[in-house]
Amino acid sequence: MGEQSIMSVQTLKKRFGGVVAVSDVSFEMRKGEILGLIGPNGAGKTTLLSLLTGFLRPGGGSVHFQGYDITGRKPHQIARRGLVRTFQMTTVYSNSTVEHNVLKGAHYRNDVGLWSALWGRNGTRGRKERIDREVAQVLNLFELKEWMHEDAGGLAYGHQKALGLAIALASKPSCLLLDEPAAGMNPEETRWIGDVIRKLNDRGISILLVEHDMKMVMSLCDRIVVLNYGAKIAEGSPAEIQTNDEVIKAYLGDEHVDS
Amino acid sequence: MTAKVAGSVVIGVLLIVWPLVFPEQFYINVAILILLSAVMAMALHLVMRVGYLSLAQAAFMGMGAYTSALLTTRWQMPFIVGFVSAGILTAVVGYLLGRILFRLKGVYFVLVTFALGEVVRLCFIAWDSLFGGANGITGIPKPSLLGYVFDTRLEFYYLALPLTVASLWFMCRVFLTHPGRAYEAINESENLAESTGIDTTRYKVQAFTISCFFTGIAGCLSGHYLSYVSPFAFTFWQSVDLIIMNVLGGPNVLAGPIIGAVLLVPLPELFRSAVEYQRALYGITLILIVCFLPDGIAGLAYRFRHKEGSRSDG
Repeated sequence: MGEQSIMSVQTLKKRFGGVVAVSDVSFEMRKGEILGLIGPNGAGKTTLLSLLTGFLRPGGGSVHFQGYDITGRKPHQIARRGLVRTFQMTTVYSNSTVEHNVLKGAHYRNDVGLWSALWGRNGTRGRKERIDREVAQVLNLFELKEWMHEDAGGLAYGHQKALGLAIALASKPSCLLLDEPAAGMNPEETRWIGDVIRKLNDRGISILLVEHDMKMVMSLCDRIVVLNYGAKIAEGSPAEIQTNDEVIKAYLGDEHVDS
Repeated sequence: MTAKVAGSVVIGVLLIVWPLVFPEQFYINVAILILLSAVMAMALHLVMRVGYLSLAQAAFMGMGAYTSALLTTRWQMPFIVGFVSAGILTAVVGYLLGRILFRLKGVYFVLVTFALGEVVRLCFIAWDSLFGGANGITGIPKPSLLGYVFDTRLEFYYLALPLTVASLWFMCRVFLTHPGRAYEAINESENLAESTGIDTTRYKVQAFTISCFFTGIAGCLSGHYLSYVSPFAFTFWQSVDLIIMNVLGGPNVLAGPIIGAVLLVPLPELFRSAVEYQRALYGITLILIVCFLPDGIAGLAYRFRHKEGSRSDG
């Protein structure tokens, strides 16, 4: 655990009944990197994300984030530490406007107690202005400004996925866990999402990317962790992963590996 | 904004003046029942706005009613003590139960609140020595404040009206400020809210606690109004009525439960002879509303205004 590490995962376990969904997965995530998490369908990628962010309770092992033990903490507590996930299914507040979606993402940062809120102390004026400014920035970044007063449920699929990211970003994460941000998108949209992820990373946000689009993963990620049947089978640079026998076996089957 | 203020002033003046113009006991009685039901329906509304449905509201109403009834009859406490204790005790019970109940979601939450409501009601009946069994508690004094007794129906109306308005104001503030936005987020997607740092459990328990507080004081008032409490006033059906008021009036705006109370409460009073058909009528109305007006009657008004608004916006 050097000073470079932002998240350290130790022998994380999860079983559902008889099925081992995640078995003894350990890896380190470095500050400022884009770490890919790939594996065939059912490899346990989404389960792992849910374990890291508190949506599922680990059956064993530990997760440390920026030096804090976040194992088994609640999702909102983990989010407040700066570790925020997005969801594979498009998850937005469908009945709220785009602007309010992003505001809800920033909700906890303007947290005041019930009584203060009722007496009109909605945080200091400066804080509110800062949040308004940030919301505008987030909307700009995701090119959602022109729809800011539309209901999110009426947006095109690609925009809804972008909004999902925007909500997460509004909560000011230091590390984002993205669950298939490009799923269901066309090549042009996928490229655009890739650019946005790169931009977020340039701002110093570490990113854990779960994605099936290999072109995107290989071009964006600094390092990649590969899961299969809930276990880590490889870890390394994109080039290393592309030539790793175990990985090829997992994706294509035994017969494709020479030697 | 000024139109809104002017509208509120007009409605306010009407609410204050009308009983003096139409001083018939029958109407004042109906108006009081509407006010009390409106508070309870708004209280349930709060829970519905975080996406949960409670069938235990009648039980909390009963807790408030019995608390104040016992304090003012058996222990001869003044009304104000009974009133405040009713609200606080019910809120504390709601808080403690909420901490446990909100581990459940959806149908399971509804089922457990149903069971809870029945358990509380059966306690009222079975715990004879304290709650007076099936006879309930009689001889509850009329409300009094600083020596002034709210003896007549008219006086009671002028006690219930400001309390209702205060409840409305409080809940308006909740919805329009920070907590309200959290409720909205939780209602739309609990996971998404939780994933961006919103303490969903805290807000759900908060909504439930506030709901119980207002249900408790409304229950207390109804006890003092009727001057008796009976366990048969706090059945499952009482909770269902509150749900119907919300669904009919509009489950997504605070005006909804008020509209619902105004429309539903007078029905059994106006059609005494047709009370046995009341449930059938409710059932049919509910089906029609859910099919054709999912946002209730308030939703209809909103849709109308929205159309006009977008037209004038150009």
